[in-house]
Amino acid sequence: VAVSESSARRYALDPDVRLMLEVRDGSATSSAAAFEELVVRYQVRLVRLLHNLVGNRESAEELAQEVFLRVYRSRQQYVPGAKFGTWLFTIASNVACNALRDRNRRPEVNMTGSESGPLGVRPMDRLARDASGAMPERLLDKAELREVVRMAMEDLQPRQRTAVLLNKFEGMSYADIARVMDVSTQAVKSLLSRARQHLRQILGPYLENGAFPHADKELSDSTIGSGGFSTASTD
Amino acid sequence: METISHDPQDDDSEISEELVAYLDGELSVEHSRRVEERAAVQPDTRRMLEEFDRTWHMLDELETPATGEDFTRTTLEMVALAAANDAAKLNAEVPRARRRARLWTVAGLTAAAVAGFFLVAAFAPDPNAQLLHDLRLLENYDQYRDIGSIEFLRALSADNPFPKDGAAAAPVPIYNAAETFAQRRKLVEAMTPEQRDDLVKVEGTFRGLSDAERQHWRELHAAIESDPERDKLLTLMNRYDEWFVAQPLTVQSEQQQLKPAPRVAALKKALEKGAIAGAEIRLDEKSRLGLARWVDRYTTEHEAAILQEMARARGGMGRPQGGPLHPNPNAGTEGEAAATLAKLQRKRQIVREWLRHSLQSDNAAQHPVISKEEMDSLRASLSSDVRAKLESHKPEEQQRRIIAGWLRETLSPEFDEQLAEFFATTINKEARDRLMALPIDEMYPELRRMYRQSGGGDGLRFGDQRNRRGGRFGPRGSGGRRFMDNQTPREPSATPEPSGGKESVPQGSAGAKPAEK
Repeated sequence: VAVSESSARRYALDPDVRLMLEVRDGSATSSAAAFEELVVRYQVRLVRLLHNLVGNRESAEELAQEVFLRVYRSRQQYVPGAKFGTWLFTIASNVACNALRDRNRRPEVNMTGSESGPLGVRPMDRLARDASGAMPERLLDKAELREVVRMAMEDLQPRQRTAVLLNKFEGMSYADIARVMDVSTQAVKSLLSRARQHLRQILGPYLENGAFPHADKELSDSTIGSGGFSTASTD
Repeated sequence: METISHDPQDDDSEISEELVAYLDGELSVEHSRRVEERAAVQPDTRRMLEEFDRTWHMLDELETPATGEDFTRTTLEMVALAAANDAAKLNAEVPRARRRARLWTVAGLTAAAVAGFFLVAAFAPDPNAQLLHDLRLLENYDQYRDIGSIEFLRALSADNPFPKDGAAAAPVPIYNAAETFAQRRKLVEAMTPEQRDDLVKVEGTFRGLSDAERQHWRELHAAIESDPERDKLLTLMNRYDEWFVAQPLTVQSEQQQLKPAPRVAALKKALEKGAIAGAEIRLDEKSRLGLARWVDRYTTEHEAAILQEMARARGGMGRPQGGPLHPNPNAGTEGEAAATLAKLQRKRQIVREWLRHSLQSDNAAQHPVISKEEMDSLRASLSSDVRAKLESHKPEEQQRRIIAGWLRETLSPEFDEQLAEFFATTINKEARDRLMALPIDEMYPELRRMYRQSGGGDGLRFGDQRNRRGGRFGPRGSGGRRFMDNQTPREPSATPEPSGGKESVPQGSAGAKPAEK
């Protein structure tokens, strides 16, 4: 990768880049110490990203370790041409993508066809099923809100979810997200737009009146409005 | 969005993209100003912006999972292990390169090993990291010492002399070459205290080796691990080792002094000649105990005849040293009893050695001390299965040699040392007093019985591959076992096990040079 001298200098000011350069070029001891520092700095963010991408804590930790291992093994190829985080999350995105693809090749055997989406049971189907009947009495508490948000995220397409997570939690610009996901900036713009439409479609009514989507309603990424929601209230 | 589209859905998408980009700060200043102006006059736009914003903030509710307590540690260990494995692979490639560039090999080997282990030490904060790193090497350490070199193992693989339809070697635990530190830690955590003790002992021995020796075994380990036929080599190594440990010291010594090709040839010759006839017979517990009882009874009942025969063979030089077989049963003090016991053990040792020679002799007829009736009695002491296998070997001289091979293990001085140590240090005073109150010829069998009950074994460990004798670096303790051998778990004993009952590799081995390097 051709990197201009000025870019290299600019990114070398990034403390994480400096740490990675130490991993690449330092003595065994300083390299190990720098690597440990990077692990400590990024492990929570990385596991959070992967957790929200693959939906499973244990898998997320295993994948995060795989990411760190790849970082270490790629240290000699590391060029400070971008923020370290961008490079790290590019690897993470690829690892997660591979994991999801492998998972889709081996669908869960205990799921019926009608309930299975690409990732198993469609989260919103599950949410609606879980909430049915108990709706009027339930309390709109924080735990429930968290669960609803989690399921709404799970209902996004993986690429939309990746873009959302990078944008929301890593504060990445569209250009950086495009670099991580290896797509155009316009594609990122479109992905994020559709993702936020979808979230608005699901979470807006819930926030207003605790409404859950119908289990049998096929949600569409391009649908705007509250058509995908039930009208049940939380009184 | 100021551009009007003819497709309402396209319009919605474009509006949405624009508003989302506005909220994300991705629009230019001018473009942002236009969006704000429109929102000021269009309630729908304002409402959409508010909904996008509110639902976006709801994502703050997503759980941020705290990484597990040991996530950092296991991650670093995993990376350290990978780094060490990388170094080991480089390390293993070096011997092949040696043929081409010897100097480069030495330099590369040293650098790879140093880098790998330095990385382990540098990365892993866990004091057990080194042990975990070496776990599989330590597990196979005994077998590595027996085969000596990768060259021999490969020669064995290329010209496998073991019959395909012969007795199968004990299953080899083929482990995952890419296992993580966390997986290894779980294995160690699942070990019994005894197994951990063994592990620590082997590790201590390994650490006590010289740098060159450790390097030699690391190279061997890495070479096997990185070999495309790794599993086959491990299985073959185990097969050879089972044969090896069953051989007399002279055969073991000869094997270890030969170069790979002649060594395989010698092995093949030994196998073809049936030098290990009966090696396929695995003594079960009933047969072990039966044989032990037969030996005890026989050596007691035939004491006079044996001693007379020994004296005759020595040309009338009189009774062997060590005093009578049945000394004064009223031995006075504890110290006298212990001394008497020691003499008795030595005496028994001599008698059993003579018995073994008698069985092993090519002309048993010249040694009338073992009659046909006694041979029948001996066979009757075995389980029906073992007896049938023994009797399948013809003629009877062949059976005698097989039995002699079994008895060889009972003649181990290590066993009597273990028994003496058990008597002196393990059993309590009450038990010791009770033993001392017995006539001495009852005391010995009773002591053996107690030793067996304590988990120390019955002294008849023939056929047990874990009973290892005379390795490269000198005699090893008997009754040892591989600490990772989950297929032969050992129940913890109620009383402390004599130290000799465990694997013990003398520290004195540290200075020895590995052969066939």
